[in-house]
Amino acid sequence: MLRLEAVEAGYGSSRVLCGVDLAIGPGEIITLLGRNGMGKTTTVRTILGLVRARAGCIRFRGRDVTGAPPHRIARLGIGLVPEGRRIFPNLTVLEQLIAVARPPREGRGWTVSRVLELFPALAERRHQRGRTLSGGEQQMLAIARALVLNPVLLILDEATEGLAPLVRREIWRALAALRREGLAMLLIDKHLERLLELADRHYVIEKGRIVWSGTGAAFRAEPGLRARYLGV
Amino acid sequence: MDPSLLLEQTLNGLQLGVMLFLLAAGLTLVFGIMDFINLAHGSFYMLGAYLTAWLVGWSEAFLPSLAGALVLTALVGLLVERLVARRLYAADHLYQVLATFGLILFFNELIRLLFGPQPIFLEPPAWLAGQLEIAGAPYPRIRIAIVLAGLMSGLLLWWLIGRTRLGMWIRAGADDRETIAALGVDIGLVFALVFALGAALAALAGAMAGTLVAVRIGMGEEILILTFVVIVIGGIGSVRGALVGALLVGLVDTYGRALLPDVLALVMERSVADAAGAAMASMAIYLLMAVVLALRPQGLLPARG
Repeated sequence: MLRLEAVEAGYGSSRVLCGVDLAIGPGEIITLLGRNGMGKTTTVRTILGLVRARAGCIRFRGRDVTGAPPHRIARLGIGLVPEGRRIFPNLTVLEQLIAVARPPREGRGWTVSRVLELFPALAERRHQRGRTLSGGEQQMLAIARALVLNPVLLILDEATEGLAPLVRREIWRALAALRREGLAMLLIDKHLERLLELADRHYVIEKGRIVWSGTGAAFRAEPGLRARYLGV
Repeated sequence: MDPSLLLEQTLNGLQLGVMLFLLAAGLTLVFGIMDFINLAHGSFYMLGAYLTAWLVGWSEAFLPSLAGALVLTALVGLLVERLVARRLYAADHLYQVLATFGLILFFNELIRLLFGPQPIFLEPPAWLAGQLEIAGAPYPRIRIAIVLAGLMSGLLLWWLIGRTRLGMWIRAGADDRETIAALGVDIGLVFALVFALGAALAALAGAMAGTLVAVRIGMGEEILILTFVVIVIGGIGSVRGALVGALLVGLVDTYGRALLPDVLALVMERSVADAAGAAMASMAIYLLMAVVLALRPQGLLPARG
């Protein structure tokens, strides 16, 4: 469904991605693992067209989207939950959802009222502005906002960072529910054990290159991986 | 002070205020959201006045001519956005100022070629001629109509920005244009629409001004300075701020010109008071701006809190 082939990208004169190969099938959940500064967020930003790919090819749902503008890539069916949440501070919860909502491609999709059922805490604050929400509520809103696009692929970049354990549990519960709906996901997160439970396959990125990929079982079978690439 | 004179000056101040608001709304949105300084915003004002006058001369029907002028100016705005502004959103402000200053010269020469160097006149429609009695004092109907039309445009804009999906995109784009684009909104198209809307509002202000004073080349540049004062006072990017700033500047300027000579005459000789009053009145709005900037550098009602 999504395939990156030898993608290179960077900022200014610095090259962050030096040939990333990665693939996600329909309904598949994959993770992107690696230490800070290895290119995880840049990979996500390049997929969405927020950073220009200098070489290589990105295909999504059978189309070449390399160099396409971000709004067109998103409309093809990618819901982004960006690093740092990036909630619009001056829009209410309801407005942020209405602004980006798109009709479902087929059958029962995500509507504003359905995402508010998934996150009851947001329903209570529907008329509050983004900047008045707590960190956990902002994170739920960022996920809800990506869902109402009715994507076929959800990308979550550090969706549990800086959240209290109880709120974190709430987010993992929601992701497990989305998994049951058959939504494909690309996850970036620090909580390795949770990722190993939830995801089908894992990619380890180092210095802008994928250095390992495989299933959760394969990852657990190679104890050296964690120390070498994740520093844990 | 005579209460009927005070009422008249208040209405004059409101009328200047709503015209400034129409200009400031577009300028502040473009400046606040796209971070683009458009010196040629005054050219849309001039175009609105010329196009309305030209269409009225041709069709003799005021409102359809006004509507036509607004549409034509919005199209010119779209063209300017596509050909000039879009290429300079990411550029330094200096380049934007240079390019849009060039546009001022271009539009002024274009008007000179099309309509000649002499000022032309825009007759208000017959149903807006004459006076209306307000609290026993006569007041020109056309000025009342300008105040009402300005306030109605303000309401419409408030609804558009506060209640519609386009308005949500505009506000979201002002907060974080990258994220709104990554969520599937064509922010380039939204910017173009805002630019065109701003041009149409400026054209409306120009047509209003044209019914009161002569329509002439350079009329846009004079009012543009006042408009920048308005958006700085109100808070850049904020339409509510533009409304408050515009009414404040309109009233302070009008009261200043009408009242300062009389107030000063209480403490000094009449002839000196008249001269000093006039000089101080033209400074009043800049003093207002200086005070506002000293107390609230972000403006009275900034877009981002």
